[in-house]
Amino acid sequence: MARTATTHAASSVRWISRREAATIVDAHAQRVLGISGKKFISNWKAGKYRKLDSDDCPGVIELALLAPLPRSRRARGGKNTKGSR
Amino acid sequence: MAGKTPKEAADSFVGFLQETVSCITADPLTAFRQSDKLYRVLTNPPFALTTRSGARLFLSITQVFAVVADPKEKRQFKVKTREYSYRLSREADVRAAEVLAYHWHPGAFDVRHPHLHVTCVPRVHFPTSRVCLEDVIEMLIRYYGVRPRLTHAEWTGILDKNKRASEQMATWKIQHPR
Repeated sequence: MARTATTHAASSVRWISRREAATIVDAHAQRVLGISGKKFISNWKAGKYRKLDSDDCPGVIELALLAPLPRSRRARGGKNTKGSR
Repeated sequence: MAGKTPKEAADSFVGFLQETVSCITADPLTAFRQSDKLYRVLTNPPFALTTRSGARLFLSITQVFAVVADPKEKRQFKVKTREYSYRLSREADVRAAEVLAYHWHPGAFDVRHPHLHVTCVPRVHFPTSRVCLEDVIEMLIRYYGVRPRLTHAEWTGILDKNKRASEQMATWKIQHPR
């Protein structure tokens, strides 16, 4: 694509390491659920949060999007779930 | 949003997102590479916005995207959005109830289609099409009175340009509100 971005951006994107990201996930899990990021991931793998939603627990969706969780097969390319942009 | 390397494609994509949010904030987005193909973008902390009436709003953006080989262009890479959350609240605290939130998280939780949460109608997942960040930013300016940082010509120009770029790359049909 020939077009470029950032002509008006006052700031450039702040790239962080995976370690810094893990710290953010941990802080987010503590604030939202009162547990560590590692505990959140292990609970997730045990299927604990599948029925939870933002009305029950504000911030949990964003936490799940940030954390390195195993995703379902549908999310990895199943029909009607792919998104390009 | 395409690139000759996965990193170039990712840099290009988050550059577009940063330019889009620059219409309403000078704050940077945060991004990290989860794996060779998977990247995440977030607001850390949420963007604090001011409306024309002086009220405060907070926007949280969380987006997961993958970088893949472009099937149409040899030796080119492109971005595919995997999941997103665009969340508007009146408090910075992540535990605060949202005013509204656009969600799409096909790999997580039971509700897999794109949907909208509105606080005044709890527990309803209003079905939506896929929503792009540019439409959310425009909604905040037009309907929530969020003050743009740029002139009208500048912010409309950026949003229109980046919407067109999205449409050019998307495999899904973007249905803008106007």
